[in-house]
Amino acid sequence: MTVKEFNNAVREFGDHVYRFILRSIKDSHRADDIVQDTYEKLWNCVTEIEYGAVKSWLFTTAYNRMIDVIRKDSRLVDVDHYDDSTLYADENSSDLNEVLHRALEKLPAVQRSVILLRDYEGYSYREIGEITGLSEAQVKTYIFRGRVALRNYLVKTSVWQ
Amino acid sequence: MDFPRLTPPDDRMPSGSSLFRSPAELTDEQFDLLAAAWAEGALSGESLEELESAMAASADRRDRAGSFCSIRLVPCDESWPGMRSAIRLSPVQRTLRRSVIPTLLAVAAMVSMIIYGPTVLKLKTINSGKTITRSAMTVAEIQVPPPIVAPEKKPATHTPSAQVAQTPVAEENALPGLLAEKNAMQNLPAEENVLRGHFAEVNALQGHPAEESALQGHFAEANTPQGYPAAEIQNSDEITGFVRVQPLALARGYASVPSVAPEIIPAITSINIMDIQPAQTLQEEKNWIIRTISFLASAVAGEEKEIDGYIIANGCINGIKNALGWDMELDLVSNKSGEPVAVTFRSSLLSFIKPLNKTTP
Repeated sequence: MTVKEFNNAVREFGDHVYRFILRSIKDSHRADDIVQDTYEKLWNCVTEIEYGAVKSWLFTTAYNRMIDVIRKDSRLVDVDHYDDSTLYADENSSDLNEVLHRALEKLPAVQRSVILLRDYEGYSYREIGEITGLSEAQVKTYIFRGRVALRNYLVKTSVWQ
Repeated sequence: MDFPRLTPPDDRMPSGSSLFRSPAELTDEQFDLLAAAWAEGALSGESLEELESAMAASADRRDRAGSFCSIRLVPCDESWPGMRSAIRLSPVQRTLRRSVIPTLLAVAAMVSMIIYGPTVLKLKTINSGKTITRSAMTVAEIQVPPPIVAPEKKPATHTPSAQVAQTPVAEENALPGLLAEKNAMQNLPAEENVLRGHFAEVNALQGHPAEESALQGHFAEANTPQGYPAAEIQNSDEITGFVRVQPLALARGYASVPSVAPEIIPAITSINIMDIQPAQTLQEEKNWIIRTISFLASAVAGEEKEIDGYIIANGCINGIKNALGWDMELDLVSNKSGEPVAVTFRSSLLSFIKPLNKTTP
């Protein structure tokens, strides 16, 4: 990858990676740091990565860095012990997308990430699995469970009757 | 050797048929997971057929499954704030940026210094001494100087013009005060005859008794173009008392009152320090930079534009901000009456507050 391609990767995918990380951890400063670190790593191995694979590489590296940060902060919620009751809050909003994003914050980190990758970036299950290190079946399970949790949140918050 | 084998009996579960389930018997949780997968387009084959049959059996479930189709997150318009800093510059761009940015900053700093710089650079002080009434002047306050020895340091050969040429503004300011003081003293009644004698003595020792009128004329000429009231110096009849030289003028470093009339100093030290007033300042006209920018702004806008230092500095900051994308803010802080009192500057690296100088007396 050339310097020009690196700069193109910054312009083209910078916002996407930042958005994904920001929505995953809800901390703009940490998100900024994580994306900066990701691009710094990309710069350090700029000659070894093909431009065609750079988007997937960026998301994978950023995701792994984010998991490290979350683990360091001991904020990782174990999916197996996840309690659906934390989802339901007495919130009212007419904007479906806004409510969905609020509900997303209440999902476990892994579910949140796979849904973001699916909806924001349109990645396939296989690509999401490569980024997150999960099997394709796991990715499907997390996504389906996440969708059900989001729908239940909408029903409980009276957005959907 | 042949071992015996067990043969399974033909036992049948009597109620096996009751365990079979139809798609309509899926629980809500099971149906939701299938519906989520269906909304994702991930179902195929028998799974899809079973879900479709379940939906066909219940209109409620059909609606429930349809609701999953609308659960899609739409990206918001967040943008990465650190994008600009992550872009790598080519050597040419880097060199250009390293030379242009400091230049722009230096220009902005220079403009700010010119506009908000010390008032010493912008204002000219005048010596406005405290007028002392004659009643306040007593013989006891005026100390008779000690016997004066003929000065060796001050030969009488210097000319007034040469003296003036060597003395800067502060000294020029000091001399009219001394001369006015002397003139006023000459108008005192008999009880101040001591002073007259003292001045006569001083003049005799200085060797140029008649030069004061020439000096006065010269100082009037020198001071008038700078805004000094010449009448204050020349028309000594209008001066009702002594004009006190201000400490500000003497503190300029190159003021040399003693070099002009060193022996007069003891006679004027009797003035009470409380009578000394601070130097007054004159509101000076805006400097040429602001005048020029005001003229250009008026020409461009087609109407009268009032330009001040804040507008210029803010323009510089905005220019840098727009050109380079840096996060910088310059705000004017006003008090309750709306008068500007300070300027605040904020950026990601530096923030400070600069109080504004009061340029009016």
